[in-house]
Amino acid sequence: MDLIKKTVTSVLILICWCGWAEAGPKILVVQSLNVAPYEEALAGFQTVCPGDITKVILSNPGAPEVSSFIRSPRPELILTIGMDALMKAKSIKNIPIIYAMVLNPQTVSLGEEERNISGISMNLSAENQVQTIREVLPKVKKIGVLYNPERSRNFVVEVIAAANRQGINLVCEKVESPKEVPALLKGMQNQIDAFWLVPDITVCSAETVEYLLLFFLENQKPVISFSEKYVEFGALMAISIDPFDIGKQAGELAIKMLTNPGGEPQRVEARKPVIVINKKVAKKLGLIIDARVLARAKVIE
Amino acid sequence: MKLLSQFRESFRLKAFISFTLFLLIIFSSFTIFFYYQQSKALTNTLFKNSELLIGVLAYSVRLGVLTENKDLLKENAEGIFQQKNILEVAIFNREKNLFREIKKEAVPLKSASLELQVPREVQESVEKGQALFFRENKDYFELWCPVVTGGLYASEEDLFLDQNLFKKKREISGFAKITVDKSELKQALYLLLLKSILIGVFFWGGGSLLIFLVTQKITTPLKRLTEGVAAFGSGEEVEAVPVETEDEIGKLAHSFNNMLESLRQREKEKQFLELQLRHAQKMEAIGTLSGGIAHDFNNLLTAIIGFGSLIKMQAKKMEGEGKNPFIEYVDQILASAQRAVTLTQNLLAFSRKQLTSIKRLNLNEVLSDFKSILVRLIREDIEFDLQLTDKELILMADSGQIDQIFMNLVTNARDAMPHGGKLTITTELAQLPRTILVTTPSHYERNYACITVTDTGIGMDEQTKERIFEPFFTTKEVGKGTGLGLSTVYGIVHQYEGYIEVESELGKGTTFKIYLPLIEGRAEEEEKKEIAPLPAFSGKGTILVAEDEDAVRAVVKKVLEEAGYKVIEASNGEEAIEQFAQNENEIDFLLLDVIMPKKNGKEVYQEIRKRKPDIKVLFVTGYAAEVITQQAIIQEGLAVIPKPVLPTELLMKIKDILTS
Repeated sequence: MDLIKKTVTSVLILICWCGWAEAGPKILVVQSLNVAPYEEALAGFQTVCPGDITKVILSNPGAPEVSSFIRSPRPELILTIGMDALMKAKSIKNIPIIYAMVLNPQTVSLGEEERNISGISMNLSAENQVQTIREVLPKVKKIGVLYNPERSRNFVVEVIAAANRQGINLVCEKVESPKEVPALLKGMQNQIDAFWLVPDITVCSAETVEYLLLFFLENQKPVISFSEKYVEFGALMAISIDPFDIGKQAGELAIKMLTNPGGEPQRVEARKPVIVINKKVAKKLGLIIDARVLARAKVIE
Repeated sequence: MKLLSQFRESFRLKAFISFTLFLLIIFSSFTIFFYYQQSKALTNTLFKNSELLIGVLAYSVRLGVLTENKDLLKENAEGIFQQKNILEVAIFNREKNLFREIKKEAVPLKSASLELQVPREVQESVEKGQALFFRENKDYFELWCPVVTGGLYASEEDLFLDQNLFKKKREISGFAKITVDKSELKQALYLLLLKSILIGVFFWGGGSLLIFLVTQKITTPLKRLTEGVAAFGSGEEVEAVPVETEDEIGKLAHSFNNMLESLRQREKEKQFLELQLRHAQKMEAIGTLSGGIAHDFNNLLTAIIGFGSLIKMQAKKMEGEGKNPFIEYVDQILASAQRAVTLTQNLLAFSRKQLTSIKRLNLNEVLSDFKSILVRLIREDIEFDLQLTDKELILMADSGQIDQIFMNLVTNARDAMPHGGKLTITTELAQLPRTILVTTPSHYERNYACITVTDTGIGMDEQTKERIFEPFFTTKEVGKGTGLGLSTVYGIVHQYEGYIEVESELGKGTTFKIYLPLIEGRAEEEEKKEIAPLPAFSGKGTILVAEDEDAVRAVVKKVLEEAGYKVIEASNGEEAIEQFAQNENEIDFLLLDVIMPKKNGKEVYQEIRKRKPDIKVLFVTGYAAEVITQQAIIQEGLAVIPKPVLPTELLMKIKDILTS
């Protein structure tokens, strides 16, 4: 049944899309910053949903207000890239808005009034992430996590649940200030097999991350991070996002929204995790990574 | 003062001191420059190292400062503290209070030990954007550096974007300070100074030694030269200076040696000339002596021969009364006297005071005419070769004297070849060779007739050769030679401003080379004298005889009176004039000695001639001291008879004059 539904939807999208194909929908792209991941997301979006794009970068000095673009001619869709862009566009009610590259969109209160807003977050499925960790580090049973409950409670709760389901014990410690990080790390080092660096700015200051990476390297504990950057600096692995794919995902959602303007808003997680593994660190820690995992991972030699 | 004096006098010292001072300046400058550069480099290195250390400290304690965790600081701070020269490491927290300090207790740190807060000046400097703050005193310096931390990201999203620009503004979380000891730097600088001075002194010493050797190399030959010149100047024997190089100094040494050789040569020439001069003076003295003796001899011989002849005449007159046995004795006396006359003539010839008849004559003609006589002089076992040049050799000379030269030389050559040999006489036109030393350099330019007489006889040794021209020096047996032959030749040659040269080698023979000056023009015709038969002595008339020598006057008077003349005597010139004045009408003839006291013969004649212009006169002359007067007399065509006066010759001469 689902299959028939999906096929019908796809055919409808295709038919609608073909209708726009020649001129293309008029799209306003509101981008928080002019940075590479956002540009990649936009590029991904355009591969799926090319249209008459007008782009506004908010960080540019003297950038015009978003409202000035929605009067005449009126765009058929607004794509926001980044949290700031979403916040700026949030007040527009009568134009479908697709957000992309937003972490924890649930922190932006999107209620009934924002039914026109759909999008793809930067969050990856906690379940998938724990699954990936198990694939890479099958022997790891206890994983330490530091987090600021004010910033990452939701994510950690999801992760704890997912971990529990998959037989992993998460040793979580709350952090309120980066000052606490060194002491907490020392405290938990004997209780854990690996450390999971979650995206929390309280934990991830430049100094603490540097210390953290060095600390666990010295103590022969693998660090799982969320960005390729930390893998380069000494983390064993990262489960990262693919901005291009997020863009594509947003493009697909946009087409859906354009063809079915009155439909339910769809707010989904990024579908494609990117696994990054530092082979040298693995070697240093005496870990042998499964070849199948390595085959689908980005390996840093 | 002594050193100053040495400095003034010694080029070597001057050069050495000048160059050494120059080197001292160069090496001092270099040493100062080297020390300055090295000390700067050392100081800079210490500062740079310290800057690096404070940078490392500030960076490494970020987390510790940020988290205010002393444990986190400990390792890093102690790591820096362990570094050389670090006296103190101090960390200040965000509130600028002293958070951690490690310092060496032994080292007194005045202000730093009391600083519990970041000083105001450090804060101001950092606020102005200075990365480091520096302050120092004489023992140490401090470096301050802010501990800068990255701050927190704005949102979790930024963590994914991996962009630095998302970071919050970097913030100063604290301060790091190190205090660096300068004592080691000071010690290093002191060692460097010492090393620089030692290097400078070493190179200066080396350079000075090199200069010393070079100046020695240059000045030693100069010193040798100077010593050589000084020694030569003071008349010491000087060896030639060794020529060691081909440069200017070598050339100078070579020139000095040449000069030395030249001066030695000149010295030899000088000695030779002195020798010659002494020889000439000796010969001159001998000549003067000989001339004087000959003069007196002539007077004596005139008396001896005169009176001898008178005795013989008287004895012959008495022959009718029987053979007079005294005639034979008188003949012996007269014969001896004749030999004495010859001796006297030779002496006069040597002393160049012989009465001469100088004319322009051709040497080749004289030789040709004389050849027959010369041939008779030599023996049959001697080959005689006469080689005359084609060129005319015109001399101003007395042919008799030239004959005498040849006769004497040929006689000597003959005697030198007792077992036969060859005698060669050659004549040629020549100039004086430079081997003959002359007093007048223009003589080298003159043309000379060179007469070479060569024999293949026994030759002479050096000792004999030196004395051959001395009168009475002979190597012949007693009675065979008079020892006047070569001295006569010498006298004649020098009389004509000629030169004589002898080469001889024992056993090989002797060569005489005679150079006689040539004159322009042609030879004069030789007058042929006819010897009249001895007339009977029947003189008439009165003759005034003026002669200062009593013996001569007496014999002349006797001879003349014996011949029939009346004689009026006078013993000097004035008396002669008086006698003439008193007997003016009576006197027909004057017989005047050329040289007399008060007035000479010529003056007497001139006086008398004023009174009686046609008066006949015959002058009697003793020797060539009267040459000038004598030549004047001869040039006036007046008759002269040389002493010793032979009675027959005198009478014939008087007769000739009276009858002419």
